[in-house]
Amino acid sequence: MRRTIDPELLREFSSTGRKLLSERTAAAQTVRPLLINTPRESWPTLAEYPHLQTCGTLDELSRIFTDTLATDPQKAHAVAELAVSVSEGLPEDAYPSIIRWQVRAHAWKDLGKALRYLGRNEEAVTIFHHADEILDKNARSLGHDRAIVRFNLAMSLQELERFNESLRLLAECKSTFIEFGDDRNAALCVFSEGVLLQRLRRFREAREVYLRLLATAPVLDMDTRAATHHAIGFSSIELGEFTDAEQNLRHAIGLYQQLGQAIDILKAEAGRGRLEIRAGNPQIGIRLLGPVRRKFLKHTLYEEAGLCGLEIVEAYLMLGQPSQAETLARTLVGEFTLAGLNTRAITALGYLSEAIAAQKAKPALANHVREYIISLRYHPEREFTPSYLFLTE
Amino acid sequence: MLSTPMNDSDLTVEFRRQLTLLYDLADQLGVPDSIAVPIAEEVIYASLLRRASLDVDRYLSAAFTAAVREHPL
Repeated sequence: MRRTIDPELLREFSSTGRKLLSERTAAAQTVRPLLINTPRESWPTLAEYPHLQTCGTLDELSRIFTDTLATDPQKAHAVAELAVSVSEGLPEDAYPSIIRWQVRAHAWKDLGKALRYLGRNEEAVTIFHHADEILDKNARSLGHDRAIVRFNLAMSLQELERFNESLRLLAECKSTFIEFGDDRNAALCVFSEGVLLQRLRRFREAREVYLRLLATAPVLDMDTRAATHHAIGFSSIELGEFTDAEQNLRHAIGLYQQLGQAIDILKAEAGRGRLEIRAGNPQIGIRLLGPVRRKFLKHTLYEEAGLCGLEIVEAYLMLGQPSQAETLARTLVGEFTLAGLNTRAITALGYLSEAIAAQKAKPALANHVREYIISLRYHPEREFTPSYLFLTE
Repeated sequence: MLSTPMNDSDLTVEFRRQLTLLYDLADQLGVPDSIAVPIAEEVIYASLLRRASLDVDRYLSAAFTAAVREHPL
């Protein structure tokens, strides 16, 4: 049965669409300069300016947030806090209520993302739940937005090692994204599932997930394809399937080169060095890892350089060259101290140096310290527990 | 839609097409007017802020179907 279409409703849609578009254009010219010219501690007061209480402002703040998140999460956090204030203060009669709920939920979601980047995952989970509730209570038609919020919640739950909840949410979100034809986010759900399985050390299952993702290659963007080959490479190293690892790491490097992603190229190159060490070729591993480590240092990526260095320490210990291993381990202590990295990481490196000096360190101790330092990214307060399994008698 | 400004007449034609799409979908799903009309309106408003790369018809259909599914009949 064909319903009558109310011309007034069509006019309202058009008017709202035009309003959103013109606000976006205006905000693109005003919001960034305003933030630059306002001291950060005064940003919260900007939410009170009537001309900034628009969806266009929120759209521009969201762009600034995205541009900033990876490089300056503190600034991104301040931007997200401002966006939350603006979204909470939107005049009730300015937009249809569904749009107000929609932008409000996204503002809270961005705040949660900032907290995740700052390692404040417990708070992030609370914020994501709040964003989810806004959508759940008020807007049944915002299923896609809800999936975006829940995907972010799944990421934080993963950081908190609440893996089962995270997996369940990822499956739910993936199915929603597929329904909406959102291939990019659906692929991200699958990729995140693989990462989660890798963190659980279920490398074979992780690799299967990644391979299934690659099977959808035509719809995958180059970034995701590169990251997927990279992840398959690392899973294959852990599974001792070195030919497969080598092929995938080379493939990832080729794609990263096309994308011009220098740091990711280095990370994948480091994977090739790791592969050689795991395959029982420590000399080749050292030869590959040395230049990579130097480039990380050049980029002032001290933690990555340190992780590379620990691979080399392990290789020296495998080769029965404890003095080189000790010298490098002490260099790493110095670099981490100079860079002001987590003191727990420095303690662990110091312990490794002493164990090598005392001729007591097995190669696996270097790997144990390496994994501990990686775990500090998710749990900066975790204590280092030296394992005697990695010491010689 | 927001990234490509249209004139009034084009906008009206586009929104008429979108509403027709959703009303046809409502008929296919057997959804009564009292439910379909407000949901269709919400879904079109929500779609205004969708990512530009998403196909609008797919977005509208999925959002409408999901909203109907969640509606307490």
